[in-house]
Amino acid sequence: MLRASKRVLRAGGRVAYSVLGTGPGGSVKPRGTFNRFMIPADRYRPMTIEAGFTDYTERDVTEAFHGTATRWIESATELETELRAALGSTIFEDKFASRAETLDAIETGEVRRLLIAATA
Amino acid sequence: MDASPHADLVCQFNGYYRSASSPSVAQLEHRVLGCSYGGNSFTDVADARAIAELLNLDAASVLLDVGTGSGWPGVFFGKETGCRVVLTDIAVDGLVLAARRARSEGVSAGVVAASGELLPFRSHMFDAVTYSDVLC
Repeated sequence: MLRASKRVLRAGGRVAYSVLGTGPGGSVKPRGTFNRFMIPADRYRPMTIEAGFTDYTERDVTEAFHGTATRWIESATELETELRAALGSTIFEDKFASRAETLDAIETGEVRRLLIAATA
Repeated sequence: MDASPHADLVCQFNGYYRSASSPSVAQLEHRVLGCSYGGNSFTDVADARAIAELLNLDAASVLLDVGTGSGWPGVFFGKETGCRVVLTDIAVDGLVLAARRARSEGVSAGVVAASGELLPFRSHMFDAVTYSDVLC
């Protein structure tokens, strides 16, 4: 995706993206479907540069992400009856389980979230 | 990216998008992210504003939002900065919502069903590209 992004950007254009990546140790314990596509967070710098970008910057926003994930669980718990009615119980339970897995992985330090930017 | 390895996720996302316009889902999203686009992202309004700044967006910019889902944050960037946006995703039900949201917000937007690895665009046509928590 980074190489495709580089191709469609004009010279001097910018890419900025948020990602989840595994923390130190490079792995996440199995939790349903949560970590199927996750790679180590420290891979994004070389991947971005190898795709031809320069001026790479990254900001670790894991702490704010923890707040977001916590608010989701708290709010979904409060709104559970209405959400089950709107989404159906299967979608609600799948989504709740996925978000709970995410929160658990943040709290164990297995997952980081980064805001990354670079120039084409 | 071949869509087939992600077919189950596309089905899952489409199922979510079909229900995502309900008031309770909008209420949840607003409490958590500070906005409601019916999306799946972890990106909140503060993140989106930080990304817009990193992209140097203004009214002359043409932005590609890959994996936009139901239009977050691409439509928001168009509304906030006046930039033109092209919204892509492999989950078509989300793109229907994205197109509707762009129209209602008065944002100049094109919508294209495409994967992030096979972007069907000419080279060098965008000023900025963004994606939020898209499967890499």
